[in-house]
Amino acid sequence: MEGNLIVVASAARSPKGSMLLEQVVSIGLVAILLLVVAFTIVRTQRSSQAGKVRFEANMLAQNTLEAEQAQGISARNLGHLPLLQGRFSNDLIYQVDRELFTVLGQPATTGLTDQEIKGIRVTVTWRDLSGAQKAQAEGIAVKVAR
Amino acid sequence: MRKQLCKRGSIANALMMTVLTFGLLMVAAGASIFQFNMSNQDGTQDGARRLAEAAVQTTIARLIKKPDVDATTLPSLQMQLESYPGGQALLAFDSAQANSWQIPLSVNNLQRAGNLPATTSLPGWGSTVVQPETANLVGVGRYRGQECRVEAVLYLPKCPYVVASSVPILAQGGLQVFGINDPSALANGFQNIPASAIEPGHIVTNADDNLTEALRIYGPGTRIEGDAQSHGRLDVSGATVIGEQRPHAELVPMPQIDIPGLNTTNKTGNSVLTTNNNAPLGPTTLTGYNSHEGDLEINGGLTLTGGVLWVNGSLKVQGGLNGKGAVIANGTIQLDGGGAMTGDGAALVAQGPIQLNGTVGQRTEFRGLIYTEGNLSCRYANISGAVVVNNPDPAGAAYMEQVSMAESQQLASINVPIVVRVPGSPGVPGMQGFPPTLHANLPTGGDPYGYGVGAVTQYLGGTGAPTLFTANMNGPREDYTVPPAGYPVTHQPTPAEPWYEIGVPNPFPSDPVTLGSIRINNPDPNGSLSSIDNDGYGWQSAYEQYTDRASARSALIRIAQAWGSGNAQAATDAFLDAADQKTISEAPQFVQIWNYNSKLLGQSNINNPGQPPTPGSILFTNFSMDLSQFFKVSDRIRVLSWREI
Repeated sequence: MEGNLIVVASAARSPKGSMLLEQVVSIGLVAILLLVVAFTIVRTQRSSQAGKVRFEANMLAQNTLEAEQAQGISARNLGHLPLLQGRFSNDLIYQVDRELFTVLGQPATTGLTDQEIKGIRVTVTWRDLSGAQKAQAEGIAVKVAR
Repeated sequence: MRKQLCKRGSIANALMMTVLTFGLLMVAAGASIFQFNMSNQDGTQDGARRLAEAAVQTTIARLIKKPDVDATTLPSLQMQLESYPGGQALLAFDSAQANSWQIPLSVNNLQRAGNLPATTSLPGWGSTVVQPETANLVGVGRYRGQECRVEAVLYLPKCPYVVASSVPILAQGGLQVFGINDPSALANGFQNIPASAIEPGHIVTNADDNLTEALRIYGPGTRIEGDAQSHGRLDVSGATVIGEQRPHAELVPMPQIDIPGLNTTNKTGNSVLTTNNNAPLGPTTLTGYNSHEGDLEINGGLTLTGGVLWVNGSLKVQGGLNGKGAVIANGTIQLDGGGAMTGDGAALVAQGPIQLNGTVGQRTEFRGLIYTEGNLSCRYANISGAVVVNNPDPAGAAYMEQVSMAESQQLASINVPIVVRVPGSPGVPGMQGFPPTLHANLPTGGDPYGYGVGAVTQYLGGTGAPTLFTANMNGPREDYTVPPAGYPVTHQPTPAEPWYEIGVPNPFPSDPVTLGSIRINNPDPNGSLSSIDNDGYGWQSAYEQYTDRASARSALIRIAQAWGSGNAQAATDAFLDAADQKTISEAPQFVQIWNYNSKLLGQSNINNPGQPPTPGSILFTNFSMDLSQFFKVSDRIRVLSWREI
């Protein structure tokens, strides 16, 4: 029994001196390392993609807000405007919700009417691998000749 | 030994790999956190900026509604937006509030209080200077520790055109269109305006092409220093256009004046002009409000000295229009011959066509604004101010020949002070009465000066009443609209203090009767009565009144003798001596009461601006007309700059 144990121990040890266990650990660690690297690369790519989409969404929200602000507001009703739909550069589908709401009731708007000032909220929504996303921009619109 | 070394190397390998793995994990986590932070910071900065913009935009909405808001009417503004919870949008016109919030001060210099044009620069935040007719707004947004400042500069220009027309414009040679910033450039006439004073001036029509181009300005000597703009095509062959030629341009807003609303007929103190069987009037000078029913023709020129003339018909003036004021007609206005509307400008407003007909040797000069809802025809004329042809008939036309037009925002803004004297007797509660007048004799008062005549019975119908001639020395007429003759004026009426005040004459005139008047009642010893007073004494309707001693003496002696006095001369002299003495001795008291009443009447108008003016008082009003007031503020206001600071 003792002799068998000695044989097994001799067989697990490399003739050069490294142990099988060390090699297994090393390979395991390398595998983990490769996995982490791969994960990081994928994660970074995904973040980069998501960041790009978010940037596009923010720009879209900002541009839509400014476009709405530039339009005459006096004849427009409060509430949601028809949804806009489009695709980001990575082909993801987005929707743009534009809502005109009253800002009256704040002291700053004393003496004004809804024909003279309105709030505009633009919400861009889309869905990616992380789930539902949104970007929002909100501002005030008044009638100003430019 | 070797075994030990191998063991150590393996541990080092394992540690290294662990550290590497951990490092990579940290890098991955760091990258994610960094991205999240950047994204979050971006969102925060966006929120702060939108809050700052919201403050500015809300203030613009307030300014459009009321362009003269200031630190008193809108000290500061603070608001929130739902999408940026906890964020604040701030803007302050009040310097104390701006300091308290630690934000730059906003300054509104678009207009002065009362919608008057701003004329001077104001200091803004830092070293900024806020020019007249501009506003410097700085909105500050604070959101999640981020702050953003947005500055907007607004400009509220006046009517920007020399000529604006809704119908085609035709100018056949000699048309000069330019602008001037300072009306003093016209001091030496149109031909001598310094080149350095000439600015761009624009001509524009909203007309579509009919058979020809909507804007035709051609021929020798035609020069437009600014833009030539047409909603249709334009033909500028042979003309010089320094600015842009803009065919097929967008429509420009046109002012719309409510001409019937300018009717002066119901204005307090309006004078009605009458003519003899519609015969032309001669040279005419008008002050205050005036009106005429039907067509009116004036030969020899019309001069306005702070006058407004409303003609319910057409007006034709030969000999030119001079002075300062306004002429409004709901028919045609035709001005023939030279004339010089000078000063700060005048208004010529007609619902029908306007014709200005100068001649080669005598060009018509006009300063101010011309507004017609008919056609315009100008020949040999120099016009400074602004011209608007708002003719709804597309077949109409604006015709110009040898016309110089200088755009001047100052001259196109008319402000004519009008002084109206309201006729009638004073009747303000609280007015003081004057001392009793001095009577020569009365049926009840004895005969202090020795006329030796008693009352006789005269009749009103079948009723008899004792009647006797009388004379009494009065002070000046109680008309506070005119200072009494012989008294020095110590206070001239002003818009703020619209009343006269007088002083005691020093020295007194040699004839004190001239400071008042002597009235002789019941002059006819055989007359009939027109009334019987409550004391039962009779009074004739006839009387005589004199404002100098000699005339009064002569008349009083004549009447006393007619009544049978044998001592008429001596009694009259005694009465007049007493009258002189009384006038002199009571002058200080009289002056004090007169001034008290005059001031009371003047103040009654100031303190009760909504009430009808009191009869006998002086009313100060202003006739003002600014084409800009007929544009909506929202159509005029311009955003000159919008930036983050």
